[in-house]
Amino acid sequence: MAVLNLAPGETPVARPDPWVLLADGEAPTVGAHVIVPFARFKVEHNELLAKAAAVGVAIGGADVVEELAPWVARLQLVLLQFGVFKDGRLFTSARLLRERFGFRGDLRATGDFIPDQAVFLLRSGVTSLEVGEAFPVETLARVVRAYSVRYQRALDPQPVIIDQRLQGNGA
Amino acid sequence: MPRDEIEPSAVSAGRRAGRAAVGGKIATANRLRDGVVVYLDAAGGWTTEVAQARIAHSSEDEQALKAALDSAVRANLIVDAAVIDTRAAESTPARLREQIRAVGPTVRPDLARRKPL
Amino acid sequence: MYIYDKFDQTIVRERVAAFRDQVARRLAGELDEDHFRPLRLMNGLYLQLHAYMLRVAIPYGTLSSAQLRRLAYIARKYDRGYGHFTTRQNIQYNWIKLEEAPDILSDLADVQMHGIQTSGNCIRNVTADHFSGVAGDEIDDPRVTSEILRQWSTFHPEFSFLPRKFKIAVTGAAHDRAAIKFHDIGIQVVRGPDGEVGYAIYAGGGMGRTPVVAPLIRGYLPKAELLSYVEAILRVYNRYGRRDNIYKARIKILVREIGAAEFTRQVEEEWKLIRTTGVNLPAAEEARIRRFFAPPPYDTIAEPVASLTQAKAASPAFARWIETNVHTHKVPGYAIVTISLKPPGGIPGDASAEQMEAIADLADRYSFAEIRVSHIQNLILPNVKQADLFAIWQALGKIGFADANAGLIGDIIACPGLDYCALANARSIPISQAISERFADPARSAEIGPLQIKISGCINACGHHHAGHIGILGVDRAGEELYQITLGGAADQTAEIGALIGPGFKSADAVDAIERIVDTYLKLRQPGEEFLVAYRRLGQAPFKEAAYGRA
Repeated sequence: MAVLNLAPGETPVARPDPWVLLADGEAPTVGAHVIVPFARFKVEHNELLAKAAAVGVAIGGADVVEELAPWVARLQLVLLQFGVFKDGRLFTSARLLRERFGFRGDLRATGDFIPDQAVFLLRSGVTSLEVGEAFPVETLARVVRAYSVRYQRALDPQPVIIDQRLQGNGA
Repeated sequence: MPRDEIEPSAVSAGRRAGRAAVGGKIATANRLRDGVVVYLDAAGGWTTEVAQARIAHSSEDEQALKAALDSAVRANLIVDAAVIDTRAAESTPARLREQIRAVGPTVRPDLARRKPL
Repeated sequence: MYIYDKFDQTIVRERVAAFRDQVARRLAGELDEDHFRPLRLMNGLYLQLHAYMLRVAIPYGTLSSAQLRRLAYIARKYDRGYGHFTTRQNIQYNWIKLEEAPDILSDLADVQMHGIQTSGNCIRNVTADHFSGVAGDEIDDPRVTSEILRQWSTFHPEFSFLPRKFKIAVTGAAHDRAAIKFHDIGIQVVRGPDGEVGYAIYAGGGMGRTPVVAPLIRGYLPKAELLSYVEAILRVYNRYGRRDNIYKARIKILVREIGAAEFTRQVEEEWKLIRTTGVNLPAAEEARIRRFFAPPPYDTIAEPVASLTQAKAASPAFARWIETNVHTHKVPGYAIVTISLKPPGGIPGDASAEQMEAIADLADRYSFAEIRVSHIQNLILPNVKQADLFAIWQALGKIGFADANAGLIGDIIACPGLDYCALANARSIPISQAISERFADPARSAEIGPLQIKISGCINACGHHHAGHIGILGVDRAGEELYQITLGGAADQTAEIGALIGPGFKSADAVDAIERIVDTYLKLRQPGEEFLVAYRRLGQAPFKEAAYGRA
């Protein structure tokens, strides 16, 4: 597995990553960067936040992000686990975490997604990707730049078409 | 288009299919690059002619068809692969759907790839 | 009509390049079919029985003559010389090669067209009243709203992987010619309490396996708040629509399972949180889009137009065509022409490259170079002078599209069915051909009056059979095609789902059954009473008895 940064206009490159996903029942090491499933976090959040240097929570499509809202300020990472790449719920989850609940940490996608979805992920607020060895990183670097313009306001900072038109740049 | 031209033999064949004894099996798919309907032939290649399809009459033969399909799917040569029933002793598909795939739309006989089955 | 600026053009161009890249990866084996399928579907590319099928969007049914000529060119260059106009204001080509699809999309991009989001689990091509901008009963041109929605929905970062497909239709008039209540979202332009223009919003309608007439979820939405409200609906659906069962994944099931009131509550709650977050379109941008739909430079013409009166008197066949296929235009001296793509015995919605080019020529000469596509699978010349109608009728006769049957029994909607479609269980087109031939006599069909027959070859209901006055659903029973008949469906503002009359008919018997139903109507109707009205008065019993030969 490798972790790639995902940022507007940048080529996604692998970066060192301190995070570990705790196995069921595995206790957090003091000072570690640990990710736990949301269900476990709900039960053990006090202990986790006290012990670990940094805490991340893994959520799936069915998890309701409103339930995570009270803790987002104390989380350094949220892991979006794509069971199947067609599970579009996580795009909404990402957006809500950023726009509605003010999550500022690393928003990371993992699991079954394809390079062509990276633009949508990025625009929904995702900032890193966890990928397997077979993942076509070169393709990703190409397709993440597929679109230079966009209609909707979202989490990426590039100006949207409407704003450019209002500035008289359309013709 | 006159009515009689759009009622090819495929219709009656389809009706018979419900009662007719099932014959053998053939392997079919659409070719990935152009979508054309193809059948596995006796030489292990792909033909667009259903009449040249290799007919399996035993479960071992049928397994061989499936293996050939799986291998071609993995090689990204074909999509929508399936082993289908034929009428007794012939390569003519049993189901109307497959008869239409083999020939073309019944409502456009001018576009038929072969004469109606 | 709307003309792309450099941004719209850039998006479509970049889409072609992205799809070319995806196709190359698929052919090279980097993408497997499971992961490629959603990508090709979002460009309108299906795999059907005989080949790939490409579905090209005709946004809200508006086409220029140059675009129609390009569609003809594509039919000839990449397909087999024809195309099929669909019930969702798209055109489909049936014989497409995957390896050529990027070139086709590039040729389409040259004339500001595309296949973007004509399939897949995303927001589909937005449809609208085919008489937009020219109908006398219109409050506002629904194409303005539709174009706003088209841009907002294109590559939406949050709503491109929905539980299932999502269809939006817009009507600008109280008379619904866009079947809005059978859509995931139906939008009707209305006047608010203060006389301002806004929208009534319906949600959760649809056909398919579980037909539902959409409930009204908001009686009045201010025009400026359209996008935030639609976004709220999509967000609730994206989060809570079912993903465990493809047959229960449409929004109509969510609305039904939690109830329209609870669904509405959730939408309104979400809407409150996003109303002021910048989703809504700035007024200046709405005004920019609106300018493209300004009326063309009409002449001032006094009615009645003498040459039209004379031509009608001289030719009963022309007079009949005027009666059925020509509709009142909002501007005096002008008319709206429905070009019937339903010749008796023909394939509903099919047009050859030559026919498309001839119609493009007519549009150039007589209709400000504009054509419309209706969900009834016909083409429309929206802006013709009444004085030109006779010449248009004669020209249409030369390409076999002068039949006087718009809105009548021969004006049948039919899906491609088992002749083309990988999902179909039975053929639709042959039944349609047999019915239109049986009722080919123009005098007889005029005597029968307005009657909509709609035929689907499977439960997905692309042929809108649930909404047909007479609906026909093809099914497969042990290898045999059977045709079930429903009666009393309606797609307009009185939307209703047709009721099944009983067991299916064999293909040879279905047409006889239809004829007996029609004869029963003729026998029982009151003077001037249309089929649907008579059916609603009489109920199903006499028609059912007649269909099964018990009358």
